[in-house]
Amino acid sequence: MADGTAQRVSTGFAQTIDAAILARARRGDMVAFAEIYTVYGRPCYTLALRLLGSTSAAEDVVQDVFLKLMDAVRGFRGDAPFGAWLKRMTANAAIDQLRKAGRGSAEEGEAALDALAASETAPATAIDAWSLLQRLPAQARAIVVLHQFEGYSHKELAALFGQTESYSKSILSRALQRLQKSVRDDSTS
Amino acid sequence: MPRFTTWPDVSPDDSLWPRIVAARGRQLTKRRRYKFISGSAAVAAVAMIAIWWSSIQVGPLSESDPLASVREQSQELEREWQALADTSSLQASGFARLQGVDHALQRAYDRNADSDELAALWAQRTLILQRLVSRARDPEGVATI
Repeated sequence: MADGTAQRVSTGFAQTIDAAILARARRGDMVAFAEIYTVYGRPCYTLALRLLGSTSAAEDVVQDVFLKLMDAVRGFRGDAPFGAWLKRMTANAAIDQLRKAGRGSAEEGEAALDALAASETAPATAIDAWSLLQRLPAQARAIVVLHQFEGYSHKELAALFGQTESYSKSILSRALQRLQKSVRDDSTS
Repeated sequence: MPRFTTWPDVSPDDSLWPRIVAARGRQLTKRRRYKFISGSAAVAAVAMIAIWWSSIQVGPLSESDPLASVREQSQELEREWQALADTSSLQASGFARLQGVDHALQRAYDRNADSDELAALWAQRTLILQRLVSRARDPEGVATI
């Protein structure tokens, strides 16, 4: 800060929204929803993009989430922070989309990692998190993003994906090993 | 491992919010249309049920009214006669005729006879009962059954 004092600035889903805006949103005020979108549109889109790896799929998820929000906000009682509630809606919508695309089954997750391990990966010219994650199968990427970025526990991941905790741990462990190998390969090339 | 947490948020396309607003408009229009259609269907269904109900209430009642009337008259007379008559009167010839008509009525109901036939039998029964009542009121009278 310019005056030298430390100030915590909330970003992403940690941002708060004015209670008056929420009250207007509960009455169906579209201007209030536009204000909510201004605050949370970016984090929603970023999370969906990280989980799905596609801009058009991420935009579809944001649209779905905000359409659901316009009905569901009446039932939001404030037990959890609004941002956390919206984040969960976004993660659920993205996982649903993975399932619809046939990329959310347990077999698919394990098989995709097996296939990846068997194939030769072309070395990347630049190491960045996004290109690394893009090399993972869809479900493995979603688990890595939710666990490493968003702080989801294995219990929560198991519930989200309809699998066991050990499944989530296995996928995460193999995905991280895969990412480490990619980093090593990229460094030596 | 790379430090993933340094990733910044990414902005969606500027056209996304207008698309969401348009989708919401379509969603609300669809819901209103569905409400209107389902509301109209419900009104139509209620109207049809009301018409059907009135037809089964009014139709058969108006047709069976004469029969119901003569039956009620007969039953009323029977109660009156039972109140007036002593046990010995049950042996009277009128009582045997009454039993005969009752059996005929029972057979007619068993074979689902039409209302004209039933009405005729109930009328016959009523006539017999009228005479039985008259005799019970005036045992010395000349009423014959």
